[in-house]
Amino acid sequence: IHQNEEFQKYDGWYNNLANIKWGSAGSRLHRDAPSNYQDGVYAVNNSLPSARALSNLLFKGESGIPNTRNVTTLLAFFSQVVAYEIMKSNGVSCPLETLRIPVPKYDEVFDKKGEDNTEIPFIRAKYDKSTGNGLNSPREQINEVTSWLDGSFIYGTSEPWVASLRSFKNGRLLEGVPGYPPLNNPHIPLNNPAPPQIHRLMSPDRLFMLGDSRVNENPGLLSFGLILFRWHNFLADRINIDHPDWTDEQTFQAARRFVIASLQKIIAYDFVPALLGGIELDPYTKYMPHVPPGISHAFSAAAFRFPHSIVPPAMLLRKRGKKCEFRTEVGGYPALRLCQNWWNAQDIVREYSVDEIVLGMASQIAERDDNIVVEDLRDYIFGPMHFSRLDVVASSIMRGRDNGLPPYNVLRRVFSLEPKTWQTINVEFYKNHREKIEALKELYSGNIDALDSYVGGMLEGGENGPGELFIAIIKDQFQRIRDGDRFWFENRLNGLFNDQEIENIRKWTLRDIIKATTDIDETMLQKDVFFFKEGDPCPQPFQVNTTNLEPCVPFMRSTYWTDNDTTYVFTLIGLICIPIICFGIGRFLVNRRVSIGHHQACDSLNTLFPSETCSKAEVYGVNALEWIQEEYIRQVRVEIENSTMTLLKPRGRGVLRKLRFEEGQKIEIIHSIPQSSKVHGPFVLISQKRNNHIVFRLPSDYDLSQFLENITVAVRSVNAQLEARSEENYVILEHAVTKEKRQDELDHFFREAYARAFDKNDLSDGTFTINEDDEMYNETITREELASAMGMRENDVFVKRLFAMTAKQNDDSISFQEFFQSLKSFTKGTQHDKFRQIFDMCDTEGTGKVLRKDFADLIRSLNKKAGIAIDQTKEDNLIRSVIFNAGVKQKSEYLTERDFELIFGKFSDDRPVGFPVNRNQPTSDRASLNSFAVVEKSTIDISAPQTYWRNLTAFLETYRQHVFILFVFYAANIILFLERFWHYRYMTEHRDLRRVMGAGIAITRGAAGSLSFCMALVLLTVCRNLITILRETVISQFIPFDSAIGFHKIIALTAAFWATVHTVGHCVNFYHVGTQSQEGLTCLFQEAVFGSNFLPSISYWFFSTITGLTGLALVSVMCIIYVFALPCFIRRAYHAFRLTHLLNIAFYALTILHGLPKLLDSPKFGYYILGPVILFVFDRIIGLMSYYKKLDIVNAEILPSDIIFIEFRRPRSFIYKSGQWVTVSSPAISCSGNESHAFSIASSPQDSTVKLYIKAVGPWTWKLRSEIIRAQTYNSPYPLIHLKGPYGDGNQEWMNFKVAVMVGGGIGVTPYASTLNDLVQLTSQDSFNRVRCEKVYFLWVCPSHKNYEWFVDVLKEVEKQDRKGIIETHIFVTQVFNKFDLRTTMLYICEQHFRGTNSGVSMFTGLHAQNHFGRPDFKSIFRWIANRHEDQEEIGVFSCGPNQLNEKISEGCSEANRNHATNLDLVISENAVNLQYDMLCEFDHL
Amino acid sequence: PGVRKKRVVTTIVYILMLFVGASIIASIYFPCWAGGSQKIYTQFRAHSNERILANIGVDIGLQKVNVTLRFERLLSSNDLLPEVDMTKLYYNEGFDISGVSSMSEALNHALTQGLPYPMLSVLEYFSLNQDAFDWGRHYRVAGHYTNAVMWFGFACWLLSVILILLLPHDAYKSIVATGCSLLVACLLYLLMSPCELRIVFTGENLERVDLTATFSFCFYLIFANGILCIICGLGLGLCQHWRVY
Ligand SMILES: Cc1cc2nc3c(=O)[nH]c(=O)nc-3n(C[C@H](O)[C@H](O)[C@H](O)COP(=O)(O)OP(=O)(O)OC[C@H]3O[C@@H](n4cnc5c(N)ncnc54)[C@H](O)[C@@H]3O)c2cc1C
Ligand code: HEM
Ligand code: HEM
Repeated sequence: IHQNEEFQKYDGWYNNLANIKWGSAGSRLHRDAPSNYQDGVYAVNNSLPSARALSNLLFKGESGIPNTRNVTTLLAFFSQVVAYEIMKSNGVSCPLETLRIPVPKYDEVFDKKGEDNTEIPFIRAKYDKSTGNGLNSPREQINEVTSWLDGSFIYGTSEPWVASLRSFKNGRLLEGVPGYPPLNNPHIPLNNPAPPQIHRLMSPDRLFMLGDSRVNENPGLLSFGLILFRWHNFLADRINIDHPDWTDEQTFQAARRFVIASLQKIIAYDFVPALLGGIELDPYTKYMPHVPPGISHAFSAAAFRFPHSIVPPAMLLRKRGKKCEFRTEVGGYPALRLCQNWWNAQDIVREYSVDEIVLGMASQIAERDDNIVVEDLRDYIFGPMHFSRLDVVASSIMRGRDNGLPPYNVLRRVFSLEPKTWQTINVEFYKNHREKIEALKELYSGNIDALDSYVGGMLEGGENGPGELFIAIIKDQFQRIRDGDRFWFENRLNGLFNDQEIENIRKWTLRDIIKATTDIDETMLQKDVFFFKEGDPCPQPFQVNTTNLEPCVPFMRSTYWTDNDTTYVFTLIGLICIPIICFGIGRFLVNRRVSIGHHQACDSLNTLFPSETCSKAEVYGVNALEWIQEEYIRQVRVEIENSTMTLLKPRGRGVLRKLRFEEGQKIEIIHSIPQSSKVHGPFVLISQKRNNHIVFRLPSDYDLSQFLENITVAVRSVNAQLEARSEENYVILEHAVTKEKRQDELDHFFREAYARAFDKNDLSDGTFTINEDDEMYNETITREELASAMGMRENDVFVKRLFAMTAKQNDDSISFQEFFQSLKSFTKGTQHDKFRQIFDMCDTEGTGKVLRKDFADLIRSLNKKAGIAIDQTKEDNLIRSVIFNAGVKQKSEYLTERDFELIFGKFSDDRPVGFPVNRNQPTSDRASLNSFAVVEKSTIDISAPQTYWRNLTAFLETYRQHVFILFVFYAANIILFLERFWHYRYMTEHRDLRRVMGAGIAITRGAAGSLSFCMALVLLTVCRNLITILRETVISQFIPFDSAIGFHKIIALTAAFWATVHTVGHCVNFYHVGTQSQEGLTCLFQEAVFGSNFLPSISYWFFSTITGLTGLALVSVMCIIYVFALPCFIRRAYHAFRLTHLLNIAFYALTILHGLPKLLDSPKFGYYILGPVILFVFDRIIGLMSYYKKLDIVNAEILPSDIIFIEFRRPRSFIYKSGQWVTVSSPAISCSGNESHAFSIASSPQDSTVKLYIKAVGPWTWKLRSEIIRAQTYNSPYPLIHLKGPYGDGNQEWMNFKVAVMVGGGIGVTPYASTLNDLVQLTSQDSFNRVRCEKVYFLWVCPSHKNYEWFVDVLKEVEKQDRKGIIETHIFVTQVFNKFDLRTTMLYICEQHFRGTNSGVSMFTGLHAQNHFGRPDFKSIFRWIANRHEDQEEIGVFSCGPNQLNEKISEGCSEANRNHATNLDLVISENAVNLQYDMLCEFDHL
Repeated sequence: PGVRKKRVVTTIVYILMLFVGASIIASIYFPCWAGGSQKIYTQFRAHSNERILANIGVDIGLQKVNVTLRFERLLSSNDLLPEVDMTKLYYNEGFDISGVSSMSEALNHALTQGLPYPMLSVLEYFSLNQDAFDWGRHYRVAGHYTNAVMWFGFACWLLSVILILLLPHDAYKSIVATGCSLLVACLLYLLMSPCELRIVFTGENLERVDLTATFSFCFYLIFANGILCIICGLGLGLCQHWRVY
C-alpha cells in the first residue's frame, strides 16, 4: 500500500472508464430481465393475489426450526450488512405512491376482530424520473448507495458524511466513548423511524453515528457496524505504526483501502458460499470493465431477501469469558426479542456490549432455510406511525411488483433455468404441504406464469440454502460486482496492493476482524463464524423460539391528526370570531360616538362648558352641553326661573328653547346614574308632553343634585308632576327622542298618510295595510310639527287655521286618522269641496263670509316661510291683483264662497298645479313640461316581460361601459381561477399536492390567483390623480372613470369572496396535511425540512410557519378593513374607516410575506401587483406634488343649514377645471392624524381664490364650523388649510356635450356653482372656447330656497352673465309636498301672478328660473328634454346629490333612453356618494 | 426646491444614490455574499493518482454559488496515464441554488460533466438537504429572503431617486427606508445563513484544511450602504427640519 494511490470516490462515480455512472450512488437498478409492469411502463399489476394472503399462506409457521446446515445467526445478520453495503432501493418517491395490501379477514395480526377493512400500506420506491414514461424505458428504481463493495456501510456515500465521521487525527474515525462512535448530536441524516414498541418519535441523539443511515435498526446489525468501525480504527493505528510519517489523510485512505479489501474478501469468498450452501463464485480472473456492477432488480427485490428466512425471532446473548455462559435474563426473558428492539439497538449494544451480542450470534443456530419467516419479521417489523407493524414478506412481494419483476418462470428462463410447474417448484414441499400449493394455485387462478418470483424463489429453498434461481441471481450479482470493480483488491491493475498484501488479505476472515475489534478470546469463537459445527466452542443452550419470549407489542394505528383536534377546532373558532369581534369593535366605536356626542379628541371647542357665571343672582342657572344629535353638541346655559326652564345661548345671546311647566303636566326626568363616568358629567333628559326631549350634560354630579332640587321646586310651584329616575347613559341616549329621531317618525307619518290618501304605494315605507294596532294610528303630531313639515311657523295663520280645522278630537294634536281624513277630502273631493275647505279655513267666525284681510293674512303667512324675496308693498299689491284678476269686486270687504271659486277656478283638476310657465315656449311644449314636477302615473303600459327586456336594453345602453368592464373583470377572474385550477388539478403533479389535498389545492391556488389579480386591480381604482389625468384622454370614452370607487367596492367584494374560498380551502387542506405521515410531508413540503423526530402538527402549520401566521394575520386584517368599510360604519365612523383602510399597506405586505416561504409553490403575487403598485406609487407622488400647504382662508362665512363657506388663497400652480374636487385638511382641525376631506370646488377656474361650500355633517366639518365661529367672534386668524388636488370628476365633462342636463341636490349643487360660472364666463366671451354647449338645463333640487341663499346669489350672477340664454334653470322646492298640497296651490297662484307683473322674475328667488313645488319627476323631464332635442345624438346628464336622487335620475335616464333615439349619457358625480337625501328633512340648527 | 441653490448637498446625494443603486443591483446578482478560498492538495480526476496543488474558492450569492478552481502545480504523479497540461486550468462555474433540488441537479450534472473532484466535493456540500447537512438549504433560504428584502430595498431606492427628482422634500424618508431595508437584508442573511460551513480538504502540507465560508464583500458593502443611507436620509431630514436644505 502506498501513500498516494488513486482515491476511490465515496459516491462510486468514475469507477468504470466508459460508464462513469456505473455503480454510483443514485444510479438505476440493473435490469437483467424484462420488466413486468401491467401497462408495460410503470403500473403495478393489481390482478395478482394479495401479498398478505400469500404471506399468510406460505410464509407463516413455527419459529425455532433449527437450520439444517447449522448456519449461525451471525450469517443472518451479516447478510443484512452485505445488503446495506450494496443497496438501498426502498427510498420514498415523490409524489408518494401508496399501494394497499388487502389483509384477509381474521388475519391474526392485522385483523383480529374480523373487520375486513384493514389494508397494509406500501409505498412505492424512488425511481429515476427520466424513466417510466414510455414502453421502451419502464420505471427503473434507484439504488441510493454504491453497488460497489466499497465500505459505504462504514463511511457513507458522501463527503460531508465521511467528514462528520472522521476524527482527522491519525486517520481514525471519530470516537465518542472509546470503541464507539459518537452519538448523533449533530443530527446527520440517520434513519429514525418511531420504534413500534414505543410508538412515538424519539430523538435522533440516541443513535450512533455510522456510515449507513439504517445501521441502528437492530442490535445484530449495529454490532457489525461497530465492529467494522473499530476495524477501521484498528487498521489505521497499525498503519500509523508502520508509517508514522503519513498524514491523517493518507492513513485514513490506506485504512479505508484495507477495510474495503477485507470486506470484499469476506463477502465474496466467505459469505457468499456460506449463504449459497457452498456454491462459490467463479475464480477471479481479471478486472472486466465491460461488466455492469449494478444491483439487479431480481437481486434486490427477490433473491437477496432470502436470508429473511433464517433470521431468528430473538438473539441469545453470551457472556464474555471462557466459561460459555449465556445470559438467561435479558429484560426478564432468556433472549432478546427482535420485534421489541427495532430502532433501539444502541441501548442494547451499550448495555450488553458488542462482544456479548457477537458471541451470542456465533453460537446461535439460525432458522431453517425454508419458506417460513419468523413473526418478528413477518408480523412485527417496524412500520410508519399510522401502521406501526408491517410484514416483510408481503412488502417483499409488493416490492417485486413495484419493481416490475418478471414472474417466476420468466425469471428462471432468463437465468437459463427451465420453467417449473406447481408441483415441481419444490417437490419435497409439495409432498408435505400439498394443500398449500393447491391453495397457492388457487390464488393465482392456476396460472403458474403469474407467480411472483419472490414467492417461487423462496419456495425453492430447502436443506441447502436458497434454491437454484436465487443462487443463480446472487452468484451472478456478486460476480458482476467483483469483476466490474476497478478497485477490487485482487485487481493488480489498479496498483493498490502488491501481491504480498493481496495474499494477506485473502487470509483475512470475519473471525479475525471480530478478534481484532472485540475482547473475544480466540478460543471462544469457532473458526468459521458463519457455521456452528460439531466441536465448536459453546453451543447454544436451546433453539430460540417465540414461546418463552417477550410478546411483541401489537400493531397500532394512529392518525397523525389525533392531537390536532383541539388546536384545529379552536383555530377555526378563532377565525370565525375575528369578523364578529371586528364588528363588535365597530359597534362600540359608533356607540361611543353616539354617547359622547363627539369624537373625544375634537371636543376642544364644542364641548367646553361655557364659563360665564350667572347673570341674575336670584335665578338658578347652570352651564351645560346640549346633546342634539350624534355629531352635534352645543354649549348652553340652563336657567330655571319660576315655572320655566330656559336654554340660553352661552354669553347671553338669545333663547334657544323654553320649557314652561303647566299645571297638572307630567314632567319626566331621566338622569345618569351618579358617578357613572369620571370623564363626562351626568346626562339629564327632560321630557314634557309633546315636546322633543331635551338632553344635556351637566358638569358634575353636584350640579345634577342642584339642578334636580331646583327643577323640583319649579315644577311643584305649578302643581305639575315630576318623575325622576336614573339610567345608564346609553339607555338615556337611546331613549332620547331628539329632533332628528322625531323627524324620522314624522317623515314616516306623512309619507304613510300620503301614500294612503293617494294610493301611491311607492311613497309608503312598509306594508300597505291599514292596521288598527299599527303604531301609526296612535301617532299624533303637534301643531309645531305640522308647521315645520309644511315649512312654516307654528304661529302662522295658515297653520293655525289648518290645524284647528283638522284637529277635531283634541285641540292640541292631530291624530293620523284626522290628518288622513282631511287629506282625503282635499284630494278625492270635488273641486267644490276643496274651495269649501279653504273657505272654511279662512272663515274664522263661521259667518259664511271671509274678511279680505283674513285671506290676505293667510296668503302672506304662506309666502313668508317659502322664502319670498319681495317686500311688503309688493306683496300687498300682489294679493290685491290676484283677487282683482279673478274678477272679484274690488270694493267688497268680504269674499264669498263664489269669489273663492273664481280665484281658484282657473285651475281645473286636469291641470296639474306645480309647473313653470315659460312665455317663449309654444303651448304644446308647455303641456309636457308642465307635468314634470309631479309624480304621475306612467302612461306607457307595456306587458311585463317586454318591460323587463326594454329595461334591460335601456340599462345596457346606459351602462354599456360599466357592463363591459365588469364583464372583462369577471372573465379575467374566472380565467385566472380556471387556469390555476387546471394547472393543479390536471397538469403537473410534481409533488404530492394533489394526492394529499385533492381538488382543495386546485381551488385554493385558483382562488389565490384570482385574489392576487383583484388585489392588484383594486389599487388601480384608487389612483385618483392618474384617473384625473386619464379622464382627459381618449381612454375615458371606454372606461367609466366616475365609477372608480364603485368598481373599487366591487373588486373588493370579489376579493373577499376569493379570500374566503382560499381560507376555507386551506383550512381543509391543512386538515389533510395534518393527517400526513412524515414521508408524505417530506414530499409535500420540500422546502421545509424537519428533524427526524419532529412531526409537524396543525399548530405548527398555523402558528409556526410564516405562511400560516401571515394567513391568520391576513384574515384579521381583512376582517377589520371590510367590517369598517361597511356602509353603516362608513357613515357613522368614517374616521375609523379611514384609519382601518390604512391597514391596506399591512395587507399587501402580509400577502407578500405570505407567499414568500414557497410552502406549496413559488409565489406569484409579486408579479400581479408589481405594475399596479408602481402606478399607485406614481399616483401618490403626483398627489404629493399637488399638495399645497398652509393656505390662508381669506374669507369665511357661516351660512344657514349648517353650511360653511370658505374662500382661500389659490396657489399659483393650482389649476383645475370646473366640476373637480379637492381634498382639504387642516392640522388645526384634525381630530387625529391629519385627516383630509373631499369637497367640490365652487369657484370657477377663472377666479383668483378657491371657494368651498361645506355642510357640517360630522366631527371634522362641525369642528371646522366651530373654528370659524371662534375666529369670527374673537377676531383671531382662521385656521390654515392644506389642499390636495384637484381630482377629476364626471362633472367636468359637461363641456363636451351640446346639450347637458345638470342635476344638483342639497349640498351637491356646489360643483355647479363652479360649472355654471365657468360656462357663462367662457361662453360670454365671444372668443373661441372649447365649450360645445348650446343648451344647459340646470335642475336644482332643494328643500327650500332659504337654505341655499348663497346659491341663489350664485345663480343670479350666472343669469346676469348668461346673455345668450344657454342656461335654463329649474328649481324644485321639495319642502312643500306636491300638487295636492293646498299650500302649494296658493304659492303657485301667487308666484304666477308675481311673475306676470315682474317680467318673469320669481317672487321667491328673484330669478328667472322656474320654480316647481314638489319632487322632480325625472322620467318626464328627460322625456321632454329628449323630445326637444331630438336632433342631438347625445345629451349629457350630470348629477350630484344624494343617493336616492341619483337612483331616480338613472331610472329616468334609462326610461328616456328606451323611448328615444337620443342617448342620455349619465354621469353621477363622485361626491354623490355620501350625501344624505335631504328632501323632507333639512332643518336649521341656528 | 433648492436643487439649484443647494448644489453641494444635491450633488452629494445624487452620487450617493447612484452608488447605492449600483451596489444593490450588484449584490443581488453577484455571488459575493459569503465565500472563502483555500489552497488544497488534491486529486482532480479518476484513473490517475497525480496530486495537484490547487486553489479552490467558493462564492455564495443570493441565488447562485460560484465555485472556482485554479491549478497551481503538479505535486506527484506516477502512473501510466498521459500527462495533461493543466497549467492553464481555471474553472469558474456558477450554480443555481434557488430551487429545492437545483443543487442536487447541479451536482448530478457536474458529475456527468466530470468536473474535477474538489469542485464536486464543494457541490456535494451544497446539494445535500437533510438534517444537519443543510448548508445549501440555509444559504438558499437566506438568499431567498435576503433577495426579497433586497428587491424591496431596490424599490425603495428607485422611489428615492424619483422623489429626489420630483419631491426633494420627501426623499429623505424613502432614503431611510432604503437604508433600513438594506440593514434588514444584512441581518436576515446574518441570521439565516449557516454559521459553519466547513468543507474538508487536504492542505498543502497534507494537513486537514477547511474551506470555510465567511461573509464577504457584498455583505459588508450592503451593510455599509445601509448605514450610509440611514445617515444620509436622517441628515437630509434634519437639514430640512432646520431649513438648511
Ligand atoms: C368628491 C366629493 C366632493 C364633495 N364635495 C362636498 C362639498 O362640496 N361640500 C360638502 O359639504 N361636502 C362635500 N363632500 C362630502 C364631504 O367630504 C363630507 O361631508 C365630509 O368629509 C364629512 O366629514 P366629517 O368628518 O365632518 O364627517 P364624518 O362624520 O366623518 O362623516 C359624515 C358623513 O360624511 C361622509 N364622509 C366623511 N368624510 C368623507 C370624505 N372624505 N369623503 C367622502 N365622504 C365622507 C361619511 O360617509 C359620513 O356619511 C364631498 C365628498 C366627495 C367624495
Ligand atoms: C381588498 C380590500 C381593499 C383594498 C386593498 C382597498 C384599498 C384602498 C386604497 C388603497 C384606497 C385609497 C386610500 C386613500 O386614498 O387613502 C382605498 C380607498 C377607498 N376604499 Fe378601499 N380597499 C379595499 C376594500 C374596500 C371596501 C370593501 C370598501 C367599501 C365597501 C372600500 C371603500 C373605499 C372607499 C370608499 C375609498 C375611498 C376613501 C377615500 O378616498 O376617502 N374599500 N381603498
Ligand atoms: C388561515 C388562513 C390562510 C392559510 C392557511 C393560507 C395558506 C396559504 C398557502 C399555503 C398558500 C400557498 C403559499 C405558497 O405557495 O407558498 C397561500 C397562498 C396565498 N394566499 Fe393564503 N392562506 C390563508 C389566508 C389568506 C388570506 C386571508 C389571504 C388574503 C389576501 C391569502 C392570500 C393568499 C395569496 C394571494 C396567495 C398566493 C401567494 C402567491 O402566489 O404569492 N391567504 N395561502
